[in-house]
Amino acid sequence: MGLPGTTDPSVYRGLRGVLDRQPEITAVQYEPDSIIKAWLRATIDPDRVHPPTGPEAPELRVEWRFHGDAVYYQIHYYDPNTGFNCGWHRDDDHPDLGPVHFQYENSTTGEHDHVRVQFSKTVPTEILWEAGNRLFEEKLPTLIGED
Amino acid sequence: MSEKSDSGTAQHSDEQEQPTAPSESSERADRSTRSSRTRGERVRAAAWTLREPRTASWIAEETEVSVKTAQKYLNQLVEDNVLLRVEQGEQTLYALDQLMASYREVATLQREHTREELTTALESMRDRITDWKATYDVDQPGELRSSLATLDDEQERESRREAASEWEQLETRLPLVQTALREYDWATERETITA
Repeated sequence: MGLPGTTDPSVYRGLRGVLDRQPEITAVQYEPDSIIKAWLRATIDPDRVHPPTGPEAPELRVEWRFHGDAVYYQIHYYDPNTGFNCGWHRDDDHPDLGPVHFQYENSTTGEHDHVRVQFSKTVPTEILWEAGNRLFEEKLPTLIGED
Repeated sequence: MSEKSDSGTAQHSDEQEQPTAPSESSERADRSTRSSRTRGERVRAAAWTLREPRTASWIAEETEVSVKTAQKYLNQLVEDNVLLRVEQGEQTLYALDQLMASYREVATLQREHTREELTTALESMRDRITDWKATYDVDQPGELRSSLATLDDEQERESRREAASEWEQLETRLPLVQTALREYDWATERETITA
């Protein structure tokens, strides 16, 4: 955390539009509040996640920052029921992996990793849409699947 | 046109989602969930994130729609005072209207919060900045961020990184909250007239 730069409410308006369209997401709100608007918290319906989880609702934290020409973001999923968390980060934490990496941590199996990734688009809304699809369609079933 | 108006059954051929070339390993995701968004929604959502002027063809490529479709929605957003159309030589570029965006944000603060909430928030933001200045003996968040390079303690680095990040955010929100408060009565009167 602690991304450099500042957020842009207009960009968050576009990103909220994407989160509102994600079928697994039931609510989206600003954090720490709607005056400061530092990041977006999306609440996920535990019954719509595969494999199923609950009873607590998992969350998706979305933060986008701009510092001059540089772009930083974190799209991070957290399941309070299992402690499993994963996300796509464009920050300075792992320069050896290039600008963007995917990281995950499975407290049940002890597995964790950081890997280099890239997105085919540069528009924030398209990146978030692709990340959401990868999360629910691929990452969760693969990384915490029962097989 | 409202955000919801394109979410129903598509009336025109350019509204319908067509299968697109799979990107990396998300082919399955594309097929199953992308169909829930129309082209208009994709273009409009992307338009809010235009922080530098872009051509319709660039936006069309990013959102996987035709240039004609992108132009249609971008021109609607120009008419709605969301985007500016910028002529640059032979090119037509689209950019977010930053002045209108700022006014919109101020109005949102005025509409969603009481004067007391905004006043309390403003005081809290100023107090936090005063505390950071005293704690770290710096005047700007950039100075605090620069100090990270000189530290070995990872915990201290993380706490300074967090503080710098929050400080940078508050610096951008302060002028908006101040403006919202300064014109609060005037805005409230206008709200009463239109209610």
